[in-house]
Amino acid sequence: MDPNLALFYSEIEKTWPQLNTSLAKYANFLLKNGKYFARGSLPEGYTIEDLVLQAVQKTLDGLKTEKTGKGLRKWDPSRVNLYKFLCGVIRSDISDLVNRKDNQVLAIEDEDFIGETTVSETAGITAMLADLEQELKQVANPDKPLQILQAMEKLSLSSADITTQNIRDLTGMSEADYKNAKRILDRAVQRVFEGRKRESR
Amino acid sequence: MNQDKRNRLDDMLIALSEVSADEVSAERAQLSKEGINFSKLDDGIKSIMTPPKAQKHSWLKAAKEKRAKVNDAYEAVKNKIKVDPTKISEIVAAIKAGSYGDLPQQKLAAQFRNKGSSSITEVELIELLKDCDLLKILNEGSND
Repeated sequence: MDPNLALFYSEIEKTWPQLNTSLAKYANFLLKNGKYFARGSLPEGYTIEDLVLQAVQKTLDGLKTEKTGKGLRKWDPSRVNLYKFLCGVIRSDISDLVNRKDNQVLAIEDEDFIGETTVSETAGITAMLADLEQELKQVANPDKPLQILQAMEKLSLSSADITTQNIRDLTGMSEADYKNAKRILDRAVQRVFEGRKRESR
Repeated sequence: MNQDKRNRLDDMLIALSEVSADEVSAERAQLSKEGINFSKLDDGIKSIMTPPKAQKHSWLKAAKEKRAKVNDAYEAVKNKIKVDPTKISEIVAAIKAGSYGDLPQQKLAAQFRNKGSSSITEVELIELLKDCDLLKILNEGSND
């Protein structure tokens, strides 16, 4: 058996409850994100669960076949961990699905805020960060979540991996502090997305 | 397009989505409220990780197709040369006795000889098989 395939099976077996929760959360984030929401929606009857399972299936198929080429998902554990790889597959699938012309449900003037046809180059990550910062100012203890946000931005600007360890190294937070602050940040991201969704309507 | 900004935001979302082991229950509860069905995910992964029946069927279908090719080749042999049909039957029986793909020429001929048909030589058999493309089919099978 291909060693990557064996690793794939063992990773899925070991981490599935954690992995599926993370993947569902990521897909949920993306679908609430201005870009994807604005462009359309998933086809009728298509769910986040379908997206997650489809990503796993595609990755498994990619590892099973010896063929190479466009459209095949070949996970290389030496380059990226399975969670990130599956996130990439989900993002790509969502993009395909919501950008299908026959699935577009809304005419959007204020395009997306991170995507290919942004009205302004300053929109995008800057806009989202500004919204997030604004949102965080309204919570009781904004300092630590803001520190995480800044650390994430710093890491992404320096093209470093945005990992828990790297963020904690940069912020000097304890594990417990990090978890609490990240939870607050998560909720803030959700609220920002929800807000954008409402505005688009 | 601003691919770089998009990638950066996506990296952040990936990092924010990653749930630690001790947060799983709380996150699942939250996501369930938002309409995500984790039973469907758990059932789905089981069927992905276990080879589905459909795959078995597709394998059977392929085997049947291969068998049909061999049978066609057998018919071609019968029509092409004038030999006792019972000998041809023996050849095909010998082929069918093994898995089609695992019989290289010599092994096939030897198997045929062992069946007691001494009236046809190994060379003749191989020529016979070449004539009706049976060898090609068998060799293709062995590459599967």
